[in-house]
Amino acid sequence: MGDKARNDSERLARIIDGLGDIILNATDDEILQSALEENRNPADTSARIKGILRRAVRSQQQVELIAARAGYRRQVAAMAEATFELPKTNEGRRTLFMAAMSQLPQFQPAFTLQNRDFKDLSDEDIEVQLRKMALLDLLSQVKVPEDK
Amino acid sequence: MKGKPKVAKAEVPKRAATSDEVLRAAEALSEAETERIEQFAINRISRIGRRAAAGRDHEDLLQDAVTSLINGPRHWYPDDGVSFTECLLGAIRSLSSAWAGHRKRNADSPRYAGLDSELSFRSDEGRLASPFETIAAPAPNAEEIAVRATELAEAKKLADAILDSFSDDEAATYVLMGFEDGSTGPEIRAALDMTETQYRTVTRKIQRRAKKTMDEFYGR
Repeated sequence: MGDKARNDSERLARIIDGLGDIILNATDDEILQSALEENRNPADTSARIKGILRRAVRSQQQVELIAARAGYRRQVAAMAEATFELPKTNEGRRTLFMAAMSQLPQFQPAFTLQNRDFKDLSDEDIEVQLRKMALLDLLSQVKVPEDK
Repeated sequence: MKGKPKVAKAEVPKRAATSDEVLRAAEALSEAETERIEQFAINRISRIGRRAAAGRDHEDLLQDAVTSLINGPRHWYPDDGVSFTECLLGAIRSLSSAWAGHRKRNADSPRYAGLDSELSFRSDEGRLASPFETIAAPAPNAEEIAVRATELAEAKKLADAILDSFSDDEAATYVLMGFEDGSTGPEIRAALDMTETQYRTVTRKIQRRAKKTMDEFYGR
């Protein structure tokens, strides 16, 4: 390919770059004025462009949500498959949970964020939280207070 | 050894915008900003050429650009003081360049060759040559050479058409010649001894007329 031909290609590229710079450096008023001169309605353009951006972001959020759900399902499946030595009764599990909360205060914020008051936790919630802690091997350090 | 040893300050990691922040910023764009964003995306598609765009238009470019701000490799760092518009315009530029680069590296891929229906050619035996025949060709083949020759001929024709459309306007012709040389706006202004207002008036005229010429050329 000759230099002359390549120069023609670069020539056009530079002209288009120059036109691009005009767009980037124009004031807002000039941009809007140009749109009106070219019979474009800036309000229509705005609605259409925002629609494109919105759809792109939402579709990306859907992808993230699907990935997060898949991750959660994997975590739940792992918990279901694992066997833990948890107390047999609801009362025993609640005692263990409260002991864990007092002996592992660093984890309290994580639980109090989700559950404003430990009293509101159902027996099922307690069991899920204990399974999570067992999965992280946190319960082996917890000592349950002996019955008075 | 005198003095305290220098301890490098640990850099605080930048916080990339969440998808919700990107969404809010997009919703808050002004009419001038959306106009600027769209016109720049159209400009970039013209810049890389329709073959590099491979059937994608400026709306696809916008969509991929905003997705890249969430997914990477580019990110918007709202705490850095860079506006969302500025960041999106940068993403549009770099993504379109990436498309052009991909096309350059894979020129004989069917993805690009398949677009060139006007360049379909018949082999010596009169058989219509499939673009898939060109996969993994180590050197430019006849089709790619033909594509490139057509691109260069089109580039010359369009550049000439833009310049010719200003044959009645000396100032605009000089500014366009400055663009052709790769000069920046301030350099052109200084060389032509133009005030900022004069330069803006001329460039707006160029923008309007050149866009019309390009639209006609590409049949838009």
